[in-house]
Amino acid sequence: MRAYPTSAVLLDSVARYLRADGATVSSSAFNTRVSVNILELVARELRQQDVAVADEHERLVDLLGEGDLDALRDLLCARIADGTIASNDPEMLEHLRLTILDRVAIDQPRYSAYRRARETQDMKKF
Amino acid sequence: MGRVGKSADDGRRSDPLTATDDADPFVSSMRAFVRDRLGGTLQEGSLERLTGGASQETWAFEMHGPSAGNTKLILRRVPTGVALADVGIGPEREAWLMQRAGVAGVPVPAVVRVLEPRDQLGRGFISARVDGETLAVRINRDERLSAIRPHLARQCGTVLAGIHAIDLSDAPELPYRPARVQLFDLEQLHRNAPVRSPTFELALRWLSLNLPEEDGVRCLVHGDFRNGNLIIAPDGVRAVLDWELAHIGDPVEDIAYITLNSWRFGTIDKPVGGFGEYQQLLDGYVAAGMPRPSNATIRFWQIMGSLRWGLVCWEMARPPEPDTAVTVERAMIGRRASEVELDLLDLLTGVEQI
Repeated sequence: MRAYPTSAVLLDSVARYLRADGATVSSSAFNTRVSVNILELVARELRQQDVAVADEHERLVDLLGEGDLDALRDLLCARIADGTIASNDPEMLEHLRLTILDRVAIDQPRYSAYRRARETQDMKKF
Repeated sequence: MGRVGKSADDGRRSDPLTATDDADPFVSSMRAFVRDRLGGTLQEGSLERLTGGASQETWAFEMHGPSAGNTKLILRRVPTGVALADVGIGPEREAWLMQRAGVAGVPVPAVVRVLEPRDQLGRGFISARVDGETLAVRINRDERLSAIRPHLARQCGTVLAGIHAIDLSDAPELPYRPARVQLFDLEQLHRNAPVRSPTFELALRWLSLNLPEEDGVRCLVHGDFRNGNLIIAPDGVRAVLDWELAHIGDPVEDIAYITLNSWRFGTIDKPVGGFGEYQQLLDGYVAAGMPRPSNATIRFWQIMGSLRWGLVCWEMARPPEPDTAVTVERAMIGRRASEVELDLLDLLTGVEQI
């Protein structure tokens, strides 16, 4: 699935903060912490996204047939929305789960539900 | 749905900004307001910004006089120039509801005065400052609250029963937002979102297939009842804050909202706010005379509430105009939509049990 806001927008916000707010009295520890979180997120994205997106594309081809990534992403949304793919379709649900986990691994790897999901997955391996 | 909710960082931020600048028209208006309308003196240096809400500001200040000692007060305001569409029901109706809730025995900060145009402070109201903790993570971990923590979920059930029983026969007009209206709004919001999510599509599809045939009971719904909007002290729930999203609708919406994983702040095994159990919340609710909602209805509203929060995350990160940067806080909240996708999938596939 597509990342929103894009990493460029994320970096723009840090630049805005450092350029305008960071130099004034309204600078705050809160905004500095958020800025650090954004820089770390973008670094994770640069390292992890290529593999995640390739895996997503491969699964989408398996589910829906050949096509480019964006077209297949749109097609999946359309098929879920109109019920062509049932809401309890196991392959679709498995695809969503794997895609979301890769996305949250970039966006919020400390999120509780992400940790729980990874623990469950690790337990399945043994 | 024009408004996009308020800032929802993890509870409330802890870096207050102090306003002391004499040249700041806000400070001089506050000084005149405290003198002329409240009959006291604004304590110099006491005016500090507590939250950076998306459209509403919250300020704490102290007033000296007219009675002995200092009084701690809160100003909640919509600065002049902010469109009402962005602030829910507006501060005047918010103040009305808080006053009415107080009369009904629901813990709320006492409303001291509603702003008027001549006060030149925008729209808003003054209320008492209630001592206690609002920061969700501290509520869930602070040693001083460990004795009361096991009782909070039940108290939340009692408080919700009180809110849902409030008589609205003479209330100012409030939005009517039953499930079908909210689902319609969320469909529009997703259609107009910057990107599409297959998981949000799945949640919309599920909601439309499980939509109740009738609107059901109509009562006052707080609309943002969660950890982070409560003041907690060692003796329990001291106040319910942030009534700006209040509406008429299905009471189960509130019961479900406080159980969303986003509002457990990491304590995933304590479904109610990260501090309590479903059964405790429902016991408090039923003991106060309200019917026990079915698990299926709770699940329905968990999915609705989670989806709404996910779409709001994206909306908050959207630049007001193309090619302008958003704040770091808003940009980062945008990337919380994916955590909501994971929560929705857990709700839809039964990983998350009630």
